[in-house]
Amino acid sequence: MLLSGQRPICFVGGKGGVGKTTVSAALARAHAAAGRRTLLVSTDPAHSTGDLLGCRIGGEPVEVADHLEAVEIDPEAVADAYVEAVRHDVHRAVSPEVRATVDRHLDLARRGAGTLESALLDRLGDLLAEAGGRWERIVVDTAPTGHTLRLLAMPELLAAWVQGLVRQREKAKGVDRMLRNLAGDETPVDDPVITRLHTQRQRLQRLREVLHDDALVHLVLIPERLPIEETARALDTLAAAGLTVGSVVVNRVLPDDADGEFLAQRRAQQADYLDEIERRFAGHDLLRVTQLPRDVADPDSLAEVQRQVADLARRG
Amino acid sequence: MSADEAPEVRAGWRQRLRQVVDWHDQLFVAKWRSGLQREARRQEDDFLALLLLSSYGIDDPAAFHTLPLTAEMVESFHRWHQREGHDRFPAGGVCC
Repeated sequence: MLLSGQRPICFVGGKGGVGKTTVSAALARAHAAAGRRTLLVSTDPAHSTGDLLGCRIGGEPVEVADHLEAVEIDPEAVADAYVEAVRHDVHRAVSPEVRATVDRHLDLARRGAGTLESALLDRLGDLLAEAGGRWERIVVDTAPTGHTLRLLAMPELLAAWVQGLVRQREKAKGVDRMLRNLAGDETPVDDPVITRLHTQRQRLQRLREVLHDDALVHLVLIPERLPIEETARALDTLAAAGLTVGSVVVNRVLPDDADGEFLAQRRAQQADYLDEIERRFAGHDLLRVTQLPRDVADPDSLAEVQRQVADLARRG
Repeated sequence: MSADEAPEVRAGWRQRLRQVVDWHDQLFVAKWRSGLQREARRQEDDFLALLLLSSYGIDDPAAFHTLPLTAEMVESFHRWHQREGHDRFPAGGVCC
């Protein structure tokens, strides 16, 4: 286990539209600029990371700058490849007459509820397994809070579920073994089903450990009512799930020199919210990111945000 | 029974011993065995039901992760639906 300041993985979460993608990209660039081999992973189905970095990114990591690679996970493609691999296996194992029905079963499973989420988790697990090796830092840009909290809690739940299946299968095989012993057959039998289940359980268990021991979750919000409430809830949920919170990033803070009556009023309201944020999230490391005169939509404006979050990269 | 007994005497002993074992088997072991067989089938059915939750419209969080078991389980699915009196696999089908 690493000290929290040196955890190689960070998730960037928060309410929709608060600037997760911008903060993730800026943070990843700051790590890369400090000479760390960094991977930026986008798990948000909206996938605007490529637009922001001004290049095409796909399902495999590509180099986008010195020391910086980026990947946009495409759950549809991952699920397709996965189900096709299973189909290939099954076709070799079963007789031709039942193939059509097995195919229908697999097609149903491909479209099943939760398949895309599981595919995303599976791919993410593969990438995170290379943290500390191929990549010194992995920054994960996530979907809005609710999805992310669920995603982060899934490995633990699934590992327990699969362990339950292992126990049920072992019970069935245990009775089977007694029957064979009764018939004088003492040869031990390897059950491929138990072997496969164990492998799945170990993968999920490892991912759970990586999330608990090697990852931080930074929460991004803007100084407004709804994001503050959502952040407060997310902090509770993360604590309950045993996940470690990194920093709370307050994005789009109006600069002191923003002029005009309208902006003065907005700034006064933001000041109230910023006080509330300081008060309610007092136990957490806070970082303010000032709003820029123009939107962050290209590498140049991103460089300014990068300067502002560089401190976050230095801490972790 | 000793080493200098004639071969036909030894064969007689062996036959009598076998009869005793068969009798014991029918009296005690056969009942136990059929009980065990029932239990083995029940445990296997429980396992199948857990794998097929989504076929019954119950949310199965691990469906994606257990999909690779399909290759190994088709045979069990088949035995199960025949035993349950279905010629074909119910609920959308896995085998036939």
